[in-house]
Amino acid sequence: MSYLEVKNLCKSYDRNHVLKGVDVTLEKGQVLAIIGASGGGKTTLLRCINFLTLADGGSITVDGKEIYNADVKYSDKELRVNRLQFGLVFQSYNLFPQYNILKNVYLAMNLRVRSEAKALFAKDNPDRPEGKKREWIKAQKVQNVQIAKALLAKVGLADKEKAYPCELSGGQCQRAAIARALALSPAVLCFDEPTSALDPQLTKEVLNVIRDLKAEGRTMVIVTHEMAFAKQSADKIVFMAGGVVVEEGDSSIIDNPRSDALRAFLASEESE
Amino acid sequence: MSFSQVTLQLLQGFGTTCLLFILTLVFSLPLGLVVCAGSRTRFKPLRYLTRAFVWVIRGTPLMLQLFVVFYVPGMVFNTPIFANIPNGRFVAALIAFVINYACYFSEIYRGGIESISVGQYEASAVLGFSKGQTFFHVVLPQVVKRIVPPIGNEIITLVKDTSLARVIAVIDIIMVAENILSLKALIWPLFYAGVFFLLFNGLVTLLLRYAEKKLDYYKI
Repeated sequence: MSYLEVKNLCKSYDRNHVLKGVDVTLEKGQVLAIIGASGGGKTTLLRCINFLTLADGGSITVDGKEIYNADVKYSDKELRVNRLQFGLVFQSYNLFPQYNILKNVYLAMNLRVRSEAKALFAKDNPDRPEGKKREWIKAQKVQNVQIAKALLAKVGLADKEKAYPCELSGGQCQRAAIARALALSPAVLCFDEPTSALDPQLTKEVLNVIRDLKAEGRTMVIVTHEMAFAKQSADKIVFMAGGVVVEEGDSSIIDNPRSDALRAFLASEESE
Repeated sequence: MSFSQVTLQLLQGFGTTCLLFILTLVFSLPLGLVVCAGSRTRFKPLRYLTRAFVWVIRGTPLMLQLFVVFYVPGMVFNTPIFANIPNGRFVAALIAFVINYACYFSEIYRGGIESISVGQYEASAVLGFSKGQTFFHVVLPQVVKRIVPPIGNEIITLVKDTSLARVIAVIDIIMVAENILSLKALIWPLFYAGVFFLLFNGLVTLLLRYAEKKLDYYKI
């Protein structure tokens, strides 16, 4: 069984079938690039995996645990817990403008501390730690800031902790967004066209960060238009069109496409 | 009547004006958030009811609402409620102002909340925030920044609207000046009262500008 298994995922809006039974698998520590023309269902697939829209059919399994099945009715809370298996980096960053990037990164961790403390300090928990809950929360928050600082250093923004998103370049914003997505250490990190809003120079710095993450053994799913990057860094490439996976394989499919659809798509990408 | 005597009397009326102004803000700003929640709820009956209420309050004169709040409870219970309790007229005026301004504020809040981009909600969702966390940690701070100018407009209008309270005989600064006019046949205290409003609104404007500047450290 693969680390990530997406089975027969379907999604329609009224009569518009955007995903018509998509199967995708990915092994731990590998990078999956999803390519294809606009309207092919790439972004919808990513949104379904992250529960931003709920699939009408199919299931998603991570590390042997089914975290979504269209036949099951989930509560908001269950979805909220299950979706943390995934992180998502948006095309338009979506950083929180009112917080400096350090707080952007540690906010999600801090907002979880209270409920974690509640579970940890429950009367029936045999591993209940010594000391006061309030002290534990305080210590945890200090630790979260340290984690956030380490993450920002990892994406090369150690000297920008106190900067607000409006003071940063697009590439810096996107790197901060990557750090934010890493804060909850998701099993699979997803990217939705992370460089589409950036110029070539800034694209390079973001792609370098993604390469570093790959070297660390992160499992990642990347929707991208950067063919060279996909070819070079992805362990697996999936070509989507018309709501289905048309072709998949390793990077050789870019050099030797089997289907006419992929050949036509690659030709149109090159001519741009 | 000397200038200092007039000033002293006007100041007493102005105290009432200020108190009405401040208490109205204290209650109507949070209440507006509640009304806003009502007009945005997914529960349709409550949403339509709230929107109809806001329509009535915004669609009728505040002066009329003052009369309704002051007289209708007395008509229902067949005894003049507000006339019988100490400061009853002031309380009635306060209730009318709070309801009226909460409805206006609710619409400003609604505009502010709806102007926040979908991306902010989606970013919060993928980070596992609950609805409450998303609202209070992500949406509300940005809404506050956006609504300072329109809220400021309403606040300045409120300063002047307080003088309407005299229709149910709350003795505000304008009423004091009118009394001087009718008893002593002096017109200038009425114009002098205008100076109080002007200075007070000058102060409010400075405070609003300060608030805007304070929130200027980021851009949405």
